[in-house]
Amino acid sequence: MASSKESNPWYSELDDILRAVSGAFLFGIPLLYTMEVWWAGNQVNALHMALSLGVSLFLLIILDYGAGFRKKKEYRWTISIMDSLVALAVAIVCASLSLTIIGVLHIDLGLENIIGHITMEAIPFGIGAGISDYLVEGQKTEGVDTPRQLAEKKKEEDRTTRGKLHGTLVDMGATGLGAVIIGFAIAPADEILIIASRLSSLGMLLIILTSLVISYIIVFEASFVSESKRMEQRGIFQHPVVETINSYLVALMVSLFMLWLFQTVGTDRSWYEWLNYTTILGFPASIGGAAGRLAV
Amino acid sequence: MNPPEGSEPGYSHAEWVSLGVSLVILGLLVGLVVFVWLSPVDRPARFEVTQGRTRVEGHSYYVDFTIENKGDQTGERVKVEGFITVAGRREEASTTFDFVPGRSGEQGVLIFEHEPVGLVIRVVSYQLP
Repeated sequence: MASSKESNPWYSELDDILRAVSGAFLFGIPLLYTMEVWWAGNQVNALHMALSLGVSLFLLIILDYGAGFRKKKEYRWTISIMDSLVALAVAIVCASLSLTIIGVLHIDLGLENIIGHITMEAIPFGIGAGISDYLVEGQKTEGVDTPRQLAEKKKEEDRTTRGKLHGTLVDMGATGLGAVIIGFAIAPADEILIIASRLSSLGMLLIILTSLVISYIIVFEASFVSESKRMEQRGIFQHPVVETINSYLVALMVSLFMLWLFQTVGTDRSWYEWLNYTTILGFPASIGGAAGRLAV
Repeated sequence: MNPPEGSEPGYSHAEWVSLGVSLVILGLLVGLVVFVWLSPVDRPARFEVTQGRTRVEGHSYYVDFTIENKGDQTGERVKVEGFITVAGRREEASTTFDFVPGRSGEQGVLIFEHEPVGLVIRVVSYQLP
């Protein structure tokens, strides 16, 4: 099944683009929740914007030599430049959409500041896209290298309930660990409160939806082998969608715990604040969780 | 993989399509940057404050207002102050906006103990970015 998918150029292109999206979010999300980057967007002039776009493209071209976002064929500098342009466009789209979803980017800012925000945030997202082959695929290659016996062993594990439970625990543990690694740096920051203060109920639903979609993309779409491996599934939560939702719940619980640890939420706060802050921290945490599951 | 004839070797139809879409997105952004570059951005910040509705909450009067920056440059830490005179005594309220970018606006609320008759709202200070 995988081979017919891989031979279809449209499918493999979609896979490449989604891999770039995954990398962009994995690397970009901590800087998405950094208000200094938003402020930078308020202060830049057109020259700065042009420079940051140019620098991003230059970085991407360099990164493409070693990593890039496509499955490596032979290196050709013309193709490398074209790929870098695509990666930059992916970064710009991801940065704009995510800035809009967390309510930082809105129409009242005026054209200059909107573009300033996008060009500044596109730099980290671009770097992520530029190394996504390494970020996402790097872990996969280890999976490819594993001999057939290991897969057989895993299948055997699947048959027993204990094996399934073990698989699920490993997945959930990896999700929790990844969520902590990304979320811990963000949990004590003021950005959570600032985003919450601007967020509408619709915005909150959008954040939940985006968290689910991006973490699904990172784990299940960004790499064929992992995907087909995961489709076979070794855990209790058989279906990828179910697993994504469950992992999201784990990420939310980890977020809630971190917020409680840093005293952002306490008994003196309303349930609405608890919900708001947890959902907002849940976005980076779920992406970290997805990265954690990739490593398993 | 079969590259279409006349195309860069190793680049599939699909890849050309995504390159095309990417170029449109980048072209749009670069075009906007050039547009911002060419449009004048040197006019210093100039603020206009418009008083909005007043509502009573408990024993306080909440006065909505809109601040607009008619200039091009961003004003940082823009301090807005309002005062009323009640029986010879001056009651003041103030708030500070982190940023009011050029050609855009923000909203705020000033709170008074007494009914804000003859209220004057003005910008008293801001910092250059």
